[in-house]
Amino acid sequence: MTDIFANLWFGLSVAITPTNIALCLIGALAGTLVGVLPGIGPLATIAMLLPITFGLSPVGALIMLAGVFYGAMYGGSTTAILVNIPGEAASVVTTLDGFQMALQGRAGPALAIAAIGSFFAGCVATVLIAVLAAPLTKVALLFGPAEYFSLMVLGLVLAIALANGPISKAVLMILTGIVLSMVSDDVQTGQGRMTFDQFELSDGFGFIIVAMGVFGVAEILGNLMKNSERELVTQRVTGLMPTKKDLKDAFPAILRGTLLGSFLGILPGGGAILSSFASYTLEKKISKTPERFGKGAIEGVAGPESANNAASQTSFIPLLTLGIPANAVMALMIGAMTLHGISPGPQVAVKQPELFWGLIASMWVGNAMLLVINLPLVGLWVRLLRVPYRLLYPMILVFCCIGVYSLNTSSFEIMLALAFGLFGYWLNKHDFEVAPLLLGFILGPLMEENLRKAVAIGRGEYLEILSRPLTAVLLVTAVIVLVLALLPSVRKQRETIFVE
Amino acid sequence: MNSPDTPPANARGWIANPRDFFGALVLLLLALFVLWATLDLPGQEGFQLGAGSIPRLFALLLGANALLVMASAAFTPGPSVRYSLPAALAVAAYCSTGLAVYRLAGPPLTAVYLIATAFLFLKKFDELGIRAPVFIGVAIFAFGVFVKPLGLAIAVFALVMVSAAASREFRFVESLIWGVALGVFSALFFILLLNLPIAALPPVLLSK
Repeated sequence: MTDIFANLWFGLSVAITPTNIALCLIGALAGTLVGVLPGIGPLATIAMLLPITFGLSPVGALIMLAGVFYGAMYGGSTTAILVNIPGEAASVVTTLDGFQMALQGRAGPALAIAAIGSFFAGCVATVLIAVLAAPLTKVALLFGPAEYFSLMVLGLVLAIALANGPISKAVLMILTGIVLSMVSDDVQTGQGRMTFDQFELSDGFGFIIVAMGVFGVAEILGNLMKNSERELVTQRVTGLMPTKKDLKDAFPAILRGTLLGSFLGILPGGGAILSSFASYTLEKKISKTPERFGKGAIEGVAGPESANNAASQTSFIPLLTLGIPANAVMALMIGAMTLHGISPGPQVAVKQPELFWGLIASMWVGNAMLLVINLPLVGLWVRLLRVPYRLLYPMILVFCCIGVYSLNTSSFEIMLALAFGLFGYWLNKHDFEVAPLLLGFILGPLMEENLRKAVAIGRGEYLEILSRPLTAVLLVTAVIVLVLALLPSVRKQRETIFVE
Repeated sequence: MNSPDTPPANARGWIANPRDFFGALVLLLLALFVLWATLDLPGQEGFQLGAGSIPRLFALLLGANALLVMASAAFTPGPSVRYSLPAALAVAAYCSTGLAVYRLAGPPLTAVYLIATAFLFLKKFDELGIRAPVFIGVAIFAFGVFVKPLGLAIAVFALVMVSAAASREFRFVESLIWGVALGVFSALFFILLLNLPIAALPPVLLSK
């Protein structure tokens, strides 16, 4: 126990250097900004900011990018409550009761409860990461290639089971991502694979290019094709303070939301969206007065908001300890680490403790900053919503294009990003969720490397590899999860969580 | 090329769920392409998995799953997606003339040609419902082509001007100002402040 506090203290000393505080603030503010603005999410933002971080230290860069992620969770809820526009998918449920509260003139308490809940959840999640990190890292160091491969298979299967939308489509998207990641020179033999002797492809498609294309460009295309007018209903925010009764009603919901979110965040594919939906369902189910939900019940704001923040932070656990991303944002973080010369995995905690603990402690600092800066700035964020989309999207495109070009100053890669944008648009149009694609894209090469190593070490004896105890347990679990997810009764329940 | 609508059942044709069917069809084609492109790569040799083993494994899985989704989409009713033949033909004509110009005159003139035709036929593209993809696509293409010879500021300006026309709310003067502002901003921010190794202005001008 003392170890954990010593480590957190050490991390805090890294996180509160002036540069890192400033970077954390910039990240959190940028995150809030994109959280507020619909039509641009944390994924595209992190991808756009990545090239800007080249000049920073790895710790600073990761602190800033993490700030974008949890900042977006805060920002998304602000607009959900005030103007009924969820800035992020994770705050869709907040519109249900949050906006109703705003209509009843209780926007202030709703915002305050969302912020307090998020802050509380963030604190708990930070401690949880610190507690779980060390033991998980120890376990992970025992893993060989075969175990890693099976763990990734299990991770992908969980991601499929928990993805929103039909299972078959999630499977397709992950496989597409894996297949796309195979374009490159073979790591072991140097043979070109599907590169058609283009030297630009010998390193494969850069993941920034893929992310910018399928998230940045495709999202803009989708928004323009929808051609929807954005309406602005601006409420005056009066009286931020929640009453004692509000706090009494909200606290248990915050607690439950935090627990649920922390747990779901660790699971691959879980993350913020699922946990906010699940928390809302839970609150409604256990409430003595479920009819109040949808009409301004404060629990309906407190629970989901705590849950999505807790989940967005605990999803760092598999990334930091195992080097396996739990969702698409974490996949981007892996890319960021690789760009900064860090190979993600259990050795990070041992070899680069300042990075590991600094990042963890910065999340706590960032959450505290968000609590302080967000409530007074509410008016500013809402005003930003008035920036028309016709000005916004050219600016996003500028950042995307410069971001891609700055990687290798290659025009070819800009054309690739465009191609991925059109591909992503086609997928969106046909209702294929693209987030799992990025997950597969990042995990593909890792899976291949580990599988090939495992086969080489096992001298080609597949049965022997499969019967290693840990490998067998992981793979059998994966099969069970997959079968469960395909059972008709579970499938129905899965759908109802997202239908609410 | 419009947002998914749900037309009456009789307008659906022989596929019950075109949205899933055609979405998965592209992925099936991708899988087939990968299988074809990795034909010459070695598979497993002795204890070692070869360069081609794993791409083929996943391509097979992808193809098989795509087929499954397509098969179920053919028989289970679902939302439809509107495709328009005139729009597809227009895009094909636009791209193929662009390609011809590219062969004859090189990338910069192609970008100029594509931008000019896009604006010339703006009304037509709008009617066909492909205004957004055309203008966004051309804008990014133009940026990629212009950035090296003309520098970042001009490339950004072109990107903003052309992409702004993708929206029906396009306002010429406003975009002009916005384009200049973003061009100046990106030159200052990315090149002066962040030191990215990109030329801000046309390199030809600077070398004199």
